[in-house]
Amino acid sequence: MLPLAPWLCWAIPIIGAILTPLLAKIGSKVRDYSAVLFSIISFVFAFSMVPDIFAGKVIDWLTGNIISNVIPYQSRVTWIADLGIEMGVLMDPLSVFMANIASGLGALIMVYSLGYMHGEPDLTRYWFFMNFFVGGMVLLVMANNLLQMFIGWEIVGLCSYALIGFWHKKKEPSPVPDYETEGEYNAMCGMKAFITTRIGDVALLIAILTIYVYTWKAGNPTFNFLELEEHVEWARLLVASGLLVPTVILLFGGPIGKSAQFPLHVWLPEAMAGPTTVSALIHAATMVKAGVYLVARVLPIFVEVFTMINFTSALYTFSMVVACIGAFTAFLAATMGMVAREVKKVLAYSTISQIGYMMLALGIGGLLGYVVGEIAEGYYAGTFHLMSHAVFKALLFLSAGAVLHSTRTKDMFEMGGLKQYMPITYKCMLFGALSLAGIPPLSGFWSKETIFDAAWVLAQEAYSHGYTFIGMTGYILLFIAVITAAMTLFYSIRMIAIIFIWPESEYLKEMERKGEHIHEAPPIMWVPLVILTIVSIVGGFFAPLFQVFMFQGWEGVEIHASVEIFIRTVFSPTILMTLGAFALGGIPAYYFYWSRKIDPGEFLEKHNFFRMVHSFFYNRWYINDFYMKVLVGGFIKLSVVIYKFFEQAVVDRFNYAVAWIVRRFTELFRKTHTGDLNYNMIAVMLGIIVMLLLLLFG
Amino acid sequence: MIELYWYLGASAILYLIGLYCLATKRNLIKLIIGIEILINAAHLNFIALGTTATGFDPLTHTYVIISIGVGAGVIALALSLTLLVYRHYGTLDVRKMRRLKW
Repeated sequence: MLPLAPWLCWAIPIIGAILTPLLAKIGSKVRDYSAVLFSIISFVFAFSMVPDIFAGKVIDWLTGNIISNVIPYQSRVTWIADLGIEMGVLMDPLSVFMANIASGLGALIMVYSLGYMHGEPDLTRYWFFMNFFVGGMVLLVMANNLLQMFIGWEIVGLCSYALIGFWHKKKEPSPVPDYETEGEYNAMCGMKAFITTRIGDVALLIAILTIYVYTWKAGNPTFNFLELEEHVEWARLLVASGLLVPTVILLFGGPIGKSAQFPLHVWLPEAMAGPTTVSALIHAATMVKAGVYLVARVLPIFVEVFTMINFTSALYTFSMVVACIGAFTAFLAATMGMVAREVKKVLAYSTISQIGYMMLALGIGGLLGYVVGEIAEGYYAGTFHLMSHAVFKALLFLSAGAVLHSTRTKDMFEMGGLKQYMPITYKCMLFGALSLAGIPPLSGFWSKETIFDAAWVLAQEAYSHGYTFIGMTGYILLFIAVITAAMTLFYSIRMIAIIFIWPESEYLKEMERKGEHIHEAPPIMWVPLVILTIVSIVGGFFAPLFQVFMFQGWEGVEIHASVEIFIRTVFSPTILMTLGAFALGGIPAYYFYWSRKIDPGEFLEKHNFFRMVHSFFYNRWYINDFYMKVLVGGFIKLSVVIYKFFEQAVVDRFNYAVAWIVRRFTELFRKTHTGDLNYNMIAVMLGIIVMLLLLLFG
Repeated sequence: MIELYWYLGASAILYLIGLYCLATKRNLIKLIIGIEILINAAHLNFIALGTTATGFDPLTHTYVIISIGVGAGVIALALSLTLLVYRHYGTLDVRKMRRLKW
């Protein structure tokens, strides 16, 4: 690695963010290019750690010294030794992998931003938060302790909030009737995201502090991941107090909020109010993966610790919750994605759904750990899907951004026929959508198949070890995952067909008549697109390499570092289910949207049942409305009651009484306060004389 | 050697002069001169009490020197404020300056 790479890869973008306002004084060009440069340097540093992971030892390239012979390697600075509070970075496959995803996609999207955000006002703020985000995200994943990770966690949350509401000054009429301008609506979306994720963050913080308090009780206070794994006394004490299961569930609360899992998934569709680059980087490729990262980070620790203290039922509960919430979210969001009207909303729902897949895979990993004591299968599936999803979802968002940029509308039904105007974007987005749908041989296929395979293995293993319930759950999870894959293909085809294949909409014709021609995106925008497309086409073929990378430093993991891995995937028992899912999702989508043999609108009018289902999905299962009415409305009502009967009746009255007493008291002395300096000085003199007299005669 | 009470008496007289100035004058500059006399009364008192028949305590001298330096700064600030006040109100009479708000 380059010297100090694990520190510099997150310090550089943060420093860059702080420098941005200063560089803006020199000139807007300097500011833009230097901001992009900072994120690229960050990526270079992050990438330089990859060879070390492969080699299994950490080498400083500058001096040639071997810093460490083992992975994971951590470099730490103790701050308060007695309290176990420290700053530190942890270099292991997971952290290096996530750091590369965050900074690599960050760099690409920053380059794309040069074209996409060209000429926007307030770009200083944009670059500041983008760089700050990249820094915060890499800090989150490189941190070697829970506290520092939480700091990164909050930094990315703040940046997400600030960037969703980036266009808060827009004066156009709002897309929803509750707000006056679009800017107000955007600001509200940011707040919604912030408040919703905050619920999860509070749960996470409670869990972190509970663990910390118990490590302190065990005599070795620490937040450090490796130390938590090594000294298991804290877990024993937690079990003794009966808090272990609540703590691990609360810890999962953070990922639920950040990764937009049910029941806190409501914020992500609104988060699309921000610029598309922000959606691509923060709300698709990196920040929402922080939850997956955290689960992947704590899962091996939990397996190790809970096995050591003979309390694997906590692992079972945790993994079961993760897997079930993941599977349900994947299904829930996919149903919403099938009926959404806005292109970015479709992508947002599909992001929620795909993250559900990752959670499902990690949960399966945990359950496998419970059943056979080895989490590698599910763990690998989850992280592999994370990588392929990060790439193809960033690709989809950036292509959608190019489309939005030239058509200036978010509604898919106002587009159509863009294939002829934007051929490059069309091809890129097509590959992205096919990869999302899991069509072989794109990267999405390999990663999704691995998840199905893991679920299948779980069910088989559970039955053969006598865990009937887990086996049954495994089959149900697999079934939900396959159904979701069908829906994924359906909405992918629907999205591509409506945007690119359908005849031009009235809106576009109107634009043409006004003389605004729809044009292909500039090269600075399509070059990142093409890079991402190539990665998402060939990404799946790096699976053996990826396995070697991910399991560096693990003991006793069977690595299929050859072609075998592809053969295993293609001839896995689940491949028939996948093909069935393609038929189930693909054929209706083809008839409805691609060949247009059946008009979807008419179809809905004819069939009452489908119309009801459609409106149920379109209204997001009414979960959003329910939260709005019960939680938001209930809170406001409660506040009104408190205002009336406590604030006004008690607090206000008390203050008035105090004020009245003080006023009456001071009125007695008002005459003596002339405000005249000379009088006051005479009073001083009299005071001195009195004191002297007291001294002389007292 | 001059007895201690001479110094203390002189200091007390200086102090009274200063106070008299503050109590009777209305001109800002005269008031500042009065404050300066008060400060010097305190200085004299301090040094006098720090001196004994066998010698003196160097710390008192140090403090007084620092105090003179600080006092000079305070006076400079007060005078500059006075100048601004005069430009603003067109007068130096303290009784006319009751509206700090404006």
